[in-house]
Amino acid sequence: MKGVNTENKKLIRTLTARKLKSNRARNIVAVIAIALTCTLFTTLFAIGASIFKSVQEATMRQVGTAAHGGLKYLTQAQYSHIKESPLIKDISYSIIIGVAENEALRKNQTEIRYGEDKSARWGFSYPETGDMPRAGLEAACSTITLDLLGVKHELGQKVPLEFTLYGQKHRVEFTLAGFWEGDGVMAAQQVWLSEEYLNSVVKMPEKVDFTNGMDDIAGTISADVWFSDSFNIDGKINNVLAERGYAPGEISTGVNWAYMTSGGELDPMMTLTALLVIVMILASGYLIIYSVFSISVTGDIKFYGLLKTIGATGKQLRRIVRAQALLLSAAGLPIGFALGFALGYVLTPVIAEITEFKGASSVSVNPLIFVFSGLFSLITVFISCRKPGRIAAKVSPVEAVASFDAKPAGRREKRTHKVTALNMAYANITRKKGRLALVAASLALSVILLGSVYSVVRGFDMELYLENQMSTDFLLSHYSVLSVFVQGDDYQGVDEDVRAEIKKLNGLTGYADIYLHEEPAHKLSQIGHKNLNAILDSGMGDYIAQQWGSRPGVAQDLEKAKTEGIVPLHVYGAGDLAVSEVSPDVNFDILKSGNYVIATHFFYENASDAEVKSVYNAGDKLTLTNPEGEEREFEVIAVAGGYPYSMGPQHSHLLMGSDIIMADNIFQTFYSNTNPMTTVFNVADEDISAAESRLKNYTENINPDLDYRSRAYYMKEFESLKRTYMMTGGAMSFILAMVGVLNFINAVFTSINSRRTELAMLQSVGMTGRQLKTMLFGEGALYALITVISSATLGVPLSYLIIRAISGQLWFFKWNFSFMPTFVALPVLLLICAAIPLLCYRFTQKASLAERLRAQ
Amino acid sequence: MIFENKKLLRRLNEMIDAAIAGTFSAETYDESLISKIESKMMRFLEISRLKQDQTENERSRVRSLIGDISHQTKTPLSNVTLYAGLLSEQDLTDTQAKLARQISVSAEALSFLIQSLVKASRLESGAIKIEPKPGDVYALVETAAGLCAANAAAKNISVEYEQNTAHITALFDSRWCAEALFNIIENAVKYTPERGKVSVAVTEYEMFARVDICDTGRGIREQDLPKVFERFWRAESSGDSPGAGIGLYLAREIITSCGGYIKVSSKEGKGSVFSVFLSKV
Amino acid sequence: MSILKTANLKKHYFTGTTVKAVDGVDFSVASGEFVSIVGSSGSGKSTLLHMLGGLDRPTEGTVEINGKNIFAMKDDELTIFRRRSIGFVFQNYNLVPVLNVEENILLPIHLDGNKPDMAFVERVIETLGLSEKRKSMPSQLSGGQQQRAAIARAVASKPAIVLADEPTGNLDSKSGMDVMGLLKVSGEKFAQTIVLITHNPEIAQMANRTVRIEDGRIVR
Repeated sequence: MKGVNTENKKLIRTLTARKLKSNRARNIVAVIAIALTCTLFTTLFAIGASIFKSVQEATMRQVGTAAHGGLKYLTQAQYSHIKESPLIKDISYSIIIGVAENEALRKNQTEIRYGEDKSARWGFSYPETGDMPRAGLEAACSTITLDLLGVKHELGQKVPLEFTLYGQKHRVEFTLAGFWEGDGVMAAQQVWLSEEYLNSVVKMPEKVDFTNGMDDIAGTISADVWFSDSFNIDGKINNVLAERGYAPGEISTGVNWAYMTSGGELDPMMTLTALLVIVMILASGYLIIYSVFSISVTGDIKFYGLLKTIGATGKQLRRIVRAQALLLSAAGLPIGFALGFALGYVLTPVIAEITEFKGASSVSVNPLIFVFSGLFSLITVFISCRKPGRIAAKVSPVEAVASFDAKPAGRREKRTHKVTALNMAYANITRKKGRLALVAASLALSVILLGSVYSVVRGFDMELYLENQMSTDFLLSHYSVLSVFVQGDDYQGVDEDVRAEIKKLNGLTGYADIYLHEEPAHKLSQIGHKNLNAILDSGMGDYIAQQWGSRPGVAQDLEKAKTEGIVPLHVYGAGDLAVSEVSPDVNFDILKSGNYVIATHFFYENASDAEVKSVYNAGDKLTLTNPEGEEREFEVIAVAGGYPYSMGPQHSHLLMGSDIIMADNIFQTFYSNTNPMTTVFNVADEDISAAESRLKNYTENINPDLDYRSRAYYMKEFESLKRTYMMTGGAMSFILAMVGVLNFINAVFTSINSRRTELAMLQSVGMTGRQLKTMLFGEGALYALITVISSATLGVPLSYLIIRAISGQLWFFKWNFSFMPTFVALPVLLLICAAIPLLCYRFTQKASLAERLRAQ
Repeated sequence: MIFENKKLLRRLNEMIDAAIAGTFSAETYDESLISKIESKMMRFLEISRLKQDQTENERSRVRSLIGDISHQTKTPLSNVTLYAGLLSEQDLTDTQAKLARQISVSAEALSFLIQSLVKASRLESGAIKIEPKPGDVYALVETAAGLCAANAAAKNISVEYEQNTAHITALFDSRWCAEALFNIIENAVKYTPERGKVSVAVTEYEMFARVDICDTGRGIREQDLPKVFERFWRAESSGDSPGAGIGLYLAREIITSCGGYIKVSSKEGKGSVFSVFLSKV
Repeated sequence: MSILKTANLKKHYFTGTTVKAVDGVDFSVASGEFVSIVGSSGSGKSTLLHMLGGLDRPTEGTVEINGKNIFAMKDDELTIFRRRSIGFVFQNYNLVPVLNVEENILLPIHLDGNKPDMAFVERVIETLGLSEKRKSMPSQLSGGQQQRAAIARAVASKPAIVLADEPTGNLDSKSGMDVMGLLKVSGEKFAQTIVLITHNPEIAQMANRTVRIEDGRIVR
């Protein structure tokens, strides 16, 4: 019970409340500071949560259900038995009838099922128009299926379906009872049929084995399961099965991996960025809140000293300081929550656009956002008022009684200067050097950051960027190849139709197909193996292990590469235009004349200091294997730096091994790919916009599976990247500037407020209001000057560091440094620094001179 | 919590021991309850010690005051008595002689009162040292009864007391206890009607010697019994009979100081018995 | 028995040259005594008083209260000791500006987490003529009223020692005498030891003993 009783607490509360009341100006600044901090945290968490939510939703759509997990191939008996498990929160099911075999649906897996409403809803396949099929030959399906079948989006339309069951081909026309907006991301489309129809064609199996393929699967139940929460779903499913008495492996299970990205799976880069931003918000919050409290405690030091003489202990004083901070937080946090959420609401779509998390257009309203941002804000507040609390606690009691009895001021003699307003201003602001430094530093920091960001953005080089991103005017692929997020790429997506379409474009000046074959386990030649080990041993191996080691399988792959010389390969077959992009020196005629290939450098060549950069070098021989198992020897005629990023599949690159490029005709003789992965082509400048609109139309309406990139697209992307940097950097500078200005306002206000009597005294001895204002203006201007000077001197190395840090990751950056922002900032700073003291002065000037003199 | 309580109680116990031994001092100064109790205990002990000192001071002041009164009034009073005596020896008319006699009587009453008061105060303040010594109770009774003989004879009252060759030894201050007994017997004589009887009996006990003074007066009402030993208390019925109401009070003070005690039993109309117990050890 | 005792107490300030505010003071005050300290301004009497109450730490020497060297205590201990044992009256009142008169008076009691003896506090407030002003803030009071409130605060918790620095300095002579009367009565009633700085000879006479300080030393 520590002796802290109620009387005591009540008193501390009273003192806190009264002290707060007496410090109105300080409170406003403090509440703004706390609200600002909380706003930033809330915004960050709101955006973060929204992105997380949308990534999760996107994954769910890919998976095809929102449910936590699934059980497959159950019999009726098993389902009704498992359903009763107390460990399950909710469960629903669907029964597979077959897979549609219509020619029009060949490319899209379309499953024919009977399903409960709940199961359909969880699977994002519940009719938005009409209803689930209830009886007879009713059906419900997505607009994608309807489009492919050429059926109008209208209830009552006839939907022809073909499927095979028990060796018998069914061709049935169903009546459309309901449909919903289709989602191309989903792995398979669903067509719902009625329970009545299900029972009429499917024999429900008593026991499931898979000897007869589809016929055995038909009639089995797929159950979707929800648990109380999404932690350890795998374990929960196993618990349910164990509880129901099934042996492990007896029933097929699946975990919805949308729920598995909750922890370690987050992108490390993003996590790092988020952490960095948290630290920055914390630091800027600290800077302002700390300075507000430290100034106010120093100003109130007599008050705390007095309490100590009367018998308040250090602990009690610290509690008074902390309680003030808490009460101010109570006012600041809700403001921060509201503002932050609003800001998150506005910014989420913008951020989503920039970061390509396209789905994240809606804001998450997860209450955890507020819990976390509140927590972090409070942490900031507590850290910030720790030192001021200690100052208050350590106050010497004589401070309060400050007797004039034989206690000389600790100042040495000073030369007499002529008393001018400016001299006085200088003397005034140097009275509290610590405060001056703090305020100037926080102002300077924003100027420095702004300057750095400006320099970085100015250093962005579009040519460098495009060179790496895209060298031809257009590029076309299956959308999965171009998307960073979609796994399971279609490497043969560019079909005959679209190639014909492209060849019909006006002004086509160059054209090349690019084929890709992935060889997952290539046995290196002896030389190749030696080279690989040299590269790995020279730092590359450690680098890979450190960067990627936590990913599943990487460690084993690395080991396999080292000991057995087995690595994955990407084998490209490319036309002239593409090959000249890879390696302009290679004569395509030679390349296509025989079994010649171009090899490439190791992916992270810079991480290795080995002399050899490539596994295979000019003159080396290597043996490739095609899917049929046939081997063929090729000779390396050239080594290129790397295969262009833009022309490969976006989400996969090789950690080890090599990209191998051969001529398209040779590729076709060895591999049996029918269609290329990508085509690249150039169009005469005047025809570019016409070509682009045709491509746009084609990929949106005729074959939505295809997507294209144009130089214009990358130019736009470049601009948006530039904007992103400008925006983020600008926002950070703005926040810092706000912190600085708030600090400045606080410092000036308290200083003028505490000097009220002194100023009145100056006036009473004959200083005119004009002179006084000149003095105050001088104080502000000196602040501005010190800020600019320090940011132009001390700021340069700091700025250099910042620019280095940001631009280090940008290959399209040309070094560049500018003082421009610092000079632009000067007049703004001057204006702010001059205006604030004068405003504060006006504020104090309301009372009459006599009143102010008496005020002490 | 239980542990704290135990610690607290143990420390309290130590504190009280130290306080009894007069060596207590506060040891800790923090926010704990025990520290607070220490501080308060210390303060309390200090206040009580200072209070005791103050009382001591006051006592000695009273002592000297009493000495002053008795000393300073002696001369004027004896002068009054002397001049009243001289006056009555002059040739006076009857009325004048009567008045002169009244002066004498009053002066003597005043002298008696002052003496009694001085005695009482001295006893109270401890200025009179009462020194109990072993002595014969019979002898004590005889001395006291002898002192009353004159007054008793004037009222035609017989004061009877046992005479015995054996001795009963008890502890008492012979001079002051004789006065105490005298006061009691005198009181008995005062409230006994003419031709009445006052008897004094001595009984010996293992630890005490008891002296009973028995009268045939009008007795004391039951509700007045606790008050008879109070200073200046006189029974309402005592009316104009002379006396200051201080004799019994003095008697009790003296007896108590000797280590004995006194008690009274009475029946209204049938007389009272005052019993004086004198300690034998 | 002495409640308060100093040994070779010194307070020096170093600012290029040494200023000896208090320079070797040995004196003791008996429990319940009423001592007045007199001396010219700048003689070091306020500094001495601050050290007696543990507000200021000496350069050298000790202050013992009830046989305990108070400067051997830790900061918080000393503070708690002070609020339990010592009542201060300062020359410049030093009321807490954000608390009203009554709250100021009860402050030391509440800080220690005690229930005030309201009857006593009531009497103190009445004696000092503050009944009307009990809810007023210090800024609304005259100098004399503030001083009386400060005295009320010093005695309300019935401390063992009251240290007063010119408590009547800002009062007219009548209220000055009233205040002294209250101090003396409360001192006797609660066995309080009183040490008081004054330059008023009339007030100095009310003490049991007068100590004169000159240049940081006691002169006899």
